[in-house]
Amino acid sequence: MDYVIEMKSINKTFPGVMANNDVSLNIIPGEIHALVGENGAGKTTLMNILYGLHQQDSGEIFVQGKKETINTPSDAIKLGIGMVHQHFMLVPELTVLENIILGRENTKFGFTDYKTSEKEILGISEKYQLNVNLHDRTYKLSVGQMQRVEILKSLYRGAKLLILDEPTAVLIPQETKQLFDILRTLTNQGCSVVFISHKLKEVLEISNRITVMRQGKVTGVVNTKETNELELACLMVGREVVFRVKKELATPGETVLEVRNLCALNDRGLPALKNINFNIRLGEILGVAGVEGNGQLELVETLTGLRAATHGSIVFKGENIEQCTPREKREKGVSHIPADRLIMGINTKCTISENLILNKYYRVPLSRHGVFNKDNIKTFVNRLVSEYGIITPDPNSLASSLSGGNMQKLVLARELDGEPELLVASQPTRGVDVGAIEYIHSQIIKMRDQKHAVLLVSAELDEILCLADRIIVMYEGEITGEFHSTDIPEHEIGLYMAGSKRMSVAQVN
Amino acid sequence: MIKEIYSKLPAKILDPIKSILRQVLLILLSIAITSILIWIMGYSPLAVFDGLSNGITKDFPGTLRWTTPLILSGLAIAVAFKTGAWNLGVDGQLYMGALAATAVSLGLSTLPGVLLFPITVLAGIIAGMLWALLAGILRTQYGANDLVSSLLLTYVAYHFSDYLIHGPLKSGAYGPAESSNIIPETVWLPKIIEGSSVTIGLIVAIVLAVVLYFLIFRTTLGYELKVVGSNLWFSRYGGIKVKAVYLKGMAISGAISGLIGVIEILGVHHRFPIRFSSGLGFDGIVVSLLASNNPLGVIISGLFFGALRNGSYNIERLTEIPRAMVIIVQAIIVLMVGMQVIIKFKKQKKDKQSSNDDQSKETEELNTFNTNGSEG
Repeated sequence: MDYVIEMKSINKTFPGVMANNDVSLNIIPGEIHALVGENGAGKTTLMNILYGLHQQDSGEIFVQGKKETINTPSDAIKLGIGMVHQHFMLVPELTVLENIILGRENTKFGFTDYKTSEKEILGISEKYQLNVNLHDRTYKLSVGQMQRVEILKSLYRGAKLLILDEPTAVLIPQETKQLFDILRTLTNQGCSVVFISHKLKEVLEISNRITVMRQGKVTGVVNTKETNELELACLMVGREVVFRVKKELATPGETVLEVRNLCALNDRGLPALKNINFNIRLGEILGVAGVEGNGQLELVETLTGLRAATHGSIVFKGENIEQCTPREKREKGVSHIPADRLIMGINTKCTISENLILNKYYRVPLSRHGVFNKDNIKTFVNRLVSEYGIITPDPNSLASSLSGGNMQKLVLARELDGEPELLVASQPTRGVDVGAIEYIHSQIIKMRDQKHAVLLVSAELDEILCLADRIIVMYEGEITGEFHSTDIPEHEIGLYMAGSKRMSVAQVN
Repeated sequence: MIKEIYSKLPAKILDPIKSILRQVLLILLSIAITSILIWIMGYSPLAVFDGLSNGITKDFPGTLRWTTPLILSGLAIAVAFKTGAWNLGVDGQLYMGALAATAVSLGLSTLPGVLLFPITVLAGIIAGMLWALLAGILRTQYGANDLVSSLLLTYVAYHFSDYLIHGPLKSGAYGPAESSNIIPETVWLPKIIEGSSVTIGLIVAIVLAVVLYFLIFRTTLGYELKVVGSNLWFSRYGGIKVKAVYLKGMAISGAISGLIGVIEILGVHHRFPIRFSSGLGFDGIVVSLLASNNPLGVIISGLFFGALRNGSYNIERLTEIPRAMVIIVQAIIVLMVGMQVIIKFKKQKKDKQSSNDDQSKETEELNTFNTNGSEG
């Protein structure tokens, strides 16, 4: 059989990491080929090599049976390879049309010939049923639409093979469905797709074949029809994984946090929270669902003291803590796992040990009168490292040396130690591997079972459904829905997330 | 054999040795490049080495005289860098310190030495500190770039001192016009090497380096300085008052700068000669850079640049090779260290790209203090 792409024995080493170790990948014409694996398994590196962003140390790439050297993305584009990155590469101020032709304009007498391009693009757009209005300004588009523009951009440049890097990470369920329809149309017309993901459910739904990677190596190539979630997870992690966290029914106690009429501004000074009302009881996990950027970040920051509220009250254990500083809140028992691990959760320029002591460094026994007690710090750090299974050769090495999962364990260790009464966890499992996800989930459940309260904010609806005892949905800074059980179909919540459905104020409170 | 010993040493001893070796190599390379330049200009290519050996063997006290202010200005820069503060105004703060010390000691010259001495020293330190805090507050309150404001405040300090020396502090009967009167002998620093300008200032500098080492690595304040200096979001998240910590770092840096002025006036000049510093505050940047901002390392690199500077004065006196060659050596070292930093940075960036598939979010724009957070 002829392959569109054949990558043979690709090796790529970065200082200290073998990112790709003897990796081979074949793509059949017209197939959707999923590339799955944990973070750091080498998926993106492999695709960056194919797209000319990195060069392999050894190994060969064949395109349509012909050996090729791909040194730059423009080489790749010439060979009919297109890539849609996780973060879109669009100019918000330009129209869709301008974005698509940028860098490949048709010209007539030295002027840009929009007419010809438009005709050409409309043709492609119709052929693959990518419905976007070419004259809209790009910043007005929804995330799903922007993604379609990116796909259109690649097709306009003649892509026969489309690489999608985690395309569903930013989409709500409905948009994901639309994307899948588009991908099916594409492959019916003869295009091939490489679909990078670690959401196994989706992979099983959309792909024809699956290549699984682990630690830079291919651990299996399977036909989607002949496999299942469990087998894939085993290939990815190298051991069996429990999918559904086992948890008992919640037995909530008294209310520990009461948020009333909370308002706050975002970084641009626009209202991000509009009259938010909710409460959490001890022994309960409250899930906050919603597409990212609908005020979740601001809610978390306001609760933890990193952002000033413009109105309203936050009552914690009967006391209004709205005016408290982050440190005061922490000392009262509000703990925080931030969404942005690499920027806020961890200081990559400090050591693991320095990262672990952040919440307690200024107090006895770690320090006295401003001078550190080295022995006590060592004991403290060693205890957390072993208790939370942070894998590191030396706690005095830089935190940036840790893998994503271990970084998050570090954050968890720091935030859960000392048994806070309220844990505010924002995207706690983003970008960490399956093994670490399992661990983090079990820790959150454990918190709850020990009669602490958890506010869980996550862009992964699955995660919310799996962990939360009660769910609120945020849309444009408001709570648009509240569900007292997690036995609700995903698409129902999706409607609230997309803003097309909302409960009345009375229902929500 | 050597390799065996090498591999057996623990990292704690090995790492400093490695970094010192690396820096020595860097220095040799810089001198080599300078030598080529000097050779092209038609002088002896060994001039820099001559100067160095001259500075060390024939006139060691002279070297120590320069080592003192260089260690201190290296420390001032090192503390600021740790805090993420761009204090390029060490030279200006030094002038303010020197001015305050001169003015106070002249103005209160009737006081007994026991009183006058501590008041003079303190005045100088406080003046330097306030001058640095001015740049710091401009950043915390108004978001002004501290690199620019501290640098520009230096020129204000220069001209302010010019004005005072030509005006209110103008020398009376004695000596050249471009200087203040001689300060009371009661505040002069005791010499530790007779017949030279080496005073207890040198001991103060070394002790201060050790104290700062302790401060940075063993105290909660040092921890806060480092955390704030490397990641503002993380600091805020941890409940650290970033503005206050930043200002503390700036204040320490400025106080040390003020102290340089005090020691120069009380120990060496015994009066305020106009524009006496010849860029001591700026040399601190390269001293600290070469020592990777480590206070103990600053002692060694301060000594090296002290020898270089002293040697250059001697060489200029004896031959016709311009003293500017020292500045060339310094500039090339700065370039070399800069290159090292860039290479390291690129490597890290590459590593990150490869090992964290999805987490390539860059640490962006950490430079803003004024988000609408409610921290005090």
